[in-house]
Amino acid sequence: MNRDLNRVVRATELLGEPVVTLAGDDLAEVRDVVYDSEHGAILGFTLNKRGWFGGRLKERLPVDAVHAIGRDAVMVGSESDLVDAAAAPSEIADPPAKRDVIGAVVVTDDGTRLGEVSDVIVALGRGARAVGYEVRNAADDPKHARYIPLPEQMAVSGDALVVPKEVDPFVRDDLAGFGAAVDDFRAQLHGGRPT
Amino acid sequence: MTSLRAALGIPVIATDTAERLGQTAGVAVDPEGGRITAVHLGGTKGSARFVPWDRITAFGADAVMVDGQGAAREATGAAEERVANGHGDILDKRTLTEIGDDVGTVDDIEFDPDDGRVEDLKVGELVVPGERLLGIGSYAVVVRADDGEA
Repeated sequence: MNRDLNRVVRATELLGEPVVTLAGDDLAEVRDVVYDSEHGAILGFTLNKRGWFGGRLKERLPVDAVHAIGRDAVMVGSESDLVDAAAAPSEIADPPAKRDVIGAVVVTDDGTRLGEVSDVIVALGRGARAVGYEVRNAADDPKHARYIPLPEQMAVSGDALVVPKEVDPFVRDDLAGFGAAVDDFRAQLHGGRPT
Repeated sequence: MTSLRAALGIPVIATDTAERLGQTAGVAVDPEGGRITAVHLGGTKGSARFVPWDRITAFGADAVMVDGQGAAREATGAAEERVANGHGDILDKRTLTEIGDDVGTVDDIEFDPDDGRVEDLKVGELVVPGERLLGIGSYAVVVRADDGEA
């Protein structure tokens, strides 16, 4: 399996993925990914019951309890990692619809408009980390998606999502190799040389 | 090394009375210890369908010898209860790495017939060492990822 080339996944591809404990039991499936666009961070997951007639689960999966995100399952330590909505942080207990990042405009800090967000790109592997945006340009060619790496730390922004202008050479036209582009972009922001 | 697949369906016989208790239908595995802890019997009359490993005197190619007729008992403990409920079997179950990748179904396991240690899981082309076993649940067998995979 060539994981190096495919270390990322679209957040929408996680919807319906089973939430499985390290003991091998399936607890739930992903209903939605709760994403904080101001900080470029995944906050957690809302959940459905397993199966065709699933329906909402009142439990939430906070990001800290995620063991790993895989292509086929979201892994958690045990059942106790799911928390009741009443006990969960309000952002994931009751995610505000207006916070939806889909459709938000991405601009560089020197004022270049990169497009509107059509998906969030998530790193596969341990933890739950957002590493980029899939953007499209409705005015230009809405079918053509591009992939924008995210810095590790995001500046708090208002209506638009602002990314450093240094991102330009790391924007990709497909997801193959995007994981490496994210690493190189972040290395450059840290003053290191792209590897 | 013994293949679990090849060891299914062989008779389980009490050494003292030479009586047949049933035949092997599966095993309960403790994923933490990486060991078979009991043999699940098929073809029994009563509900005593599990022989704990320490009652086995020889796990042979053609028969499993146990130390007496009383060697079989009811499902005891979480692993055996899962097997009894049809959720604990390891063969033909999907295999997930701990980082959430489906790597195939368990085609077979190889174990040490002396102590029940699970040596390898055969998952398609993959051979996963028994030490990597993390869990055997209703949904999947979970194995530790290869070094460097995560």
